[in-house]
Amino acid sequence: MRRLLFVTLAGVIVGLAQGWLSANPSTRSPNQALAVHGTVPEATAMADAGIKVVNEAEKFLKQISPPNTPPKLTMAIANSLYRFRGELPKTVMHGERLTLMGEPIGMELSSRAATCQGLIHPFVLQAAGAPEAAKFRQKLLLDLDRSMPKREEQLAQIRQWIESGNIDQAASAYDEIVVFIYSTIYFLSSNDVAPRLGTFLTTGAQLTSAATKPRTVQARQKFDEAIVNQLPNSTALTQWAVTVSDSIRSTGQAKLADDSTMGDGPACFAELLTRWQNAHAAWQRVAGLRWAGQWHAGDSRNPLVMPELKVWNDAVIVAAMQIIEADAQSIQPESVPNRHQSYLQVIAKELPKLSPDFVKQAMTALDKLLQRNPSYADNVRNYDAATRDVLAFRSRAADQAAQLLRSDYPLWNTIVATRARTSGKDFGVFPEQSNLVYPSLSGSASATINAIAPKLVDQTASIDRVIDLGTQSKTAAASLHQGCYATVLQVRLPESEIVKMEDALMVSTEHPPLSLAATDAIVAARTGNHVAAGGKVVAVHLEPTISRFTTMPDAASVIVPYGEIPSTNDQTMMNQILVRADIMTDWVQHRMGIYDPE
Amino acid sequence: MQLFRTTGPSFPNGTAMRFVSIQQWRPIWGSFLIIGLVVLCGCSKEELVTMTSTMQQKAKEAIAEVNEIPVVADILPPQGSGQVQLTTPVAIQTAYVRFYPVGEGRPSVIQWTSYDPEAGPETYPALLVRATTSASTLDQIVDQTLPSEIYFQASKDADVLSLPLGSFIDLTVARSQPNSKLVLATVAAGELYDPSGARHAISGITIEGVDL
Repeated sequence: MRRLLFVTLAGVIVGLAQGWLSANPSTRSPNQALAVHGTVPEATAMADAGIKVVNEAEKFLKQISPPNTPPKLTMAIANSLYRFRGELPKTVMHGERLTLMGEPIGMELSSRAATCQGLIHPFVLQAAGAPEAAKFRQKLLLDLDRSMPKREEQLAQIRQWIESGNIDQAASAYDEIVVFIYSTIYFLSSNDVAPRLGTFLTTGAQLTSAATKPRTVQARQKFDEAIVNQLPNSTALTQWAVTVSDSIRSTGQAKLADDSTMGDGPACFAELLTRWQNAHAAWQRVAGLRWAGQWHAGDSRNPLVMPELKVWNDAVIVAAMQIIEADAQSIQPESVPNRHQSYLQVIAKELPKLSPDFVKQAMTALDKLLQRNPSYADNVRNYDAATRDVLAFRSRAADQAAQLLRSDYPLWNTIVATRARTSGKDFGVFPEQSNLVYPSLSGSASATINAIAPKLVDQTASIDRVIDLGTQSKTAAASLHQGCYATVLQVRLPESEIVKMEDALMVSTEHPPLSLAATDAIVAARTGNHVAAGGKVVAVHLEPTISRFTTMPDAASVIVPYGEIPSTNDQTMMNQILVRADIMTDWVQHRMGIYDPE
Repeated sequence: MQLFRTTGPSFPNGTAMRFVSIQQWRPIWGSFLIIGLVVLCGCSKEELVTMTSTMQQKAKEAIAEVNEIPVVADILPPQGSGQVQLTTPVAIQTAYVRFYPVGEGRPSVIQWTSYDPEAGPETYPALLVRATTSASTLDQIVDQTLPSEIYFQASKDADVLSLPLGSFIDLTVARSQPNSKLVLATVAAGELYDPSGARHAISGITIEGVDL
């Protein structure tokens, strides 16, 4: 029964998680292609076409070469190979072009297409000795000869286009010749082929050398445009905060956005946090675009150094303080308790996402609000003193219990680093012997996922800083650590436990908590934010780091704390991969204890 | 051991610090060191008591000297004490009691701690005995029995022993003398749990905290 539940829930997790994370290879669909971010628009179609070719070629190879059977080629098969022999070299070339477009799938495509070519070769050698082969070779030679004059004309035209800078047209025309030539020459000896190629190879070399620079420049332009579009506007935020705080100071309310919805200080503060979440996701996308763009020669920008990010982070803190301080200036003393408690609720809801510095500054600003009602401020001080030690001891005990559980539930990134190494012919996400910290692909993603699946699925793992993604998604996501993160089904604590917490913290419907720590304890229990969680790995996904960050959805950006971009090794971004687990939760760590969702 | 209760390492965190700064204490440390050496060299109990009172006198004089204020009887105020009756009993060297009225119809909280409540449970052994009450002053709960929460950690690396959330052990509140600053909690026998869920029997806890 439990097993059945596992399978059903696992399906739900995968289904839901895929809603907010674009598809990638996983243990459930190992042949799924790596996600394309499409910053250079033509990348998507090029990648789709390439994936179609390698998928078909791999499927075909599987059909003609059952396991443990020596290769045997009939002429029927030789004829079917015709298409692949042309398309595969083109796919190798397109893979290289995709890499120039900052697409991690480029390397994957080139490598899978090249592998297919290698696997086809033994069949070709065998077929060449067959009795009917001589006749077939004659036909191919005739095809080459007949088409040569027209082809040379086309190649001359292509060279003209190259010289006039019309690279795309030249490349597209050359692609067609590539398919024809390679699908024809595979069965012929090099002596036969050499005199019949004309200017094919030299034109190709000319195209490659002429195309690299403009393509790099073009891609770079696309990245720069995308970055400009994404970059959060600190000045606009600052102006908004000034307008909002002026309005709060004079009327106690302000327009939340450009529409006419009015809100009080806490509502404006919540709006600020929403703006931060959206901007935070944008910063992650900017980091992804910088990594993608960095691949190009000559791009020496260190993507991890973004002075604009610090400006934004500072602006958010100033805005937060301005809103609360404006409220403190205009508020009537009798309104202080409600307002203070509303602010605590708003901050506690987002607490696991926020930077400690931001929280500290916001709490300092809240002290000014408290000063407007000294007797309430006394209550708050007493409440804090009467609850903080309980919270401290419970939190320590929960940490200790979680530490004990970690012997059976190691951290997910530790499991990946120890179990998902390359071993013999099995690809892993770390080389066999290395001190690399961030996972990367060294073979095709599908081969890698197939090799690591038995080593990772069904392991029990723990994760930390689990943040609920909202009622609609029914999932929560854990922090990204060294290229590993996880998603779990939403777990909210049972009401019977929440009541006990409320008793200990002297909280009831009429008496909301008066400290941030106590508010967080209750809010986290109700929303399903957890300090940590542990459970069984039911699925593993490989997500190219560049694509994941370049297309980061707003909700998913919580895998990185607000104000930060993930640290990573910036030398090998193109093949770096995020290893995501879907975990069926066995336990969650709340700041007041460990809970079993069953 | 009385000696160390009044002059031991926890003293500088204690209430006397409100009158004397660390720099001002410097001349007195030498006296304490001598007392320590005497203890180590194995004097008889009587000799020790005599020396102790002499040294305490000297300490008081030293304080008077550096502060130029009159010596008052409570310059070395009571520090509280306690004992956690685990299989191996653990002595509590200093103890505090605080009563927190939160107002607005919420319960009040009384807490006995082995550590300075301002600093939090950062010195060990760390003991917190806590009870909520509808009373609005500490005096109202003297001689009463209240359900209490217990938290105990013998050292920084030791397990936290506590009760499950929503479980309590009874304690009774007492004052040894009507106007004493010391308030005694006597916790009944029961079982505490470590983070692995294992039970640790206690035959009781006493903690007499200083109410300031």
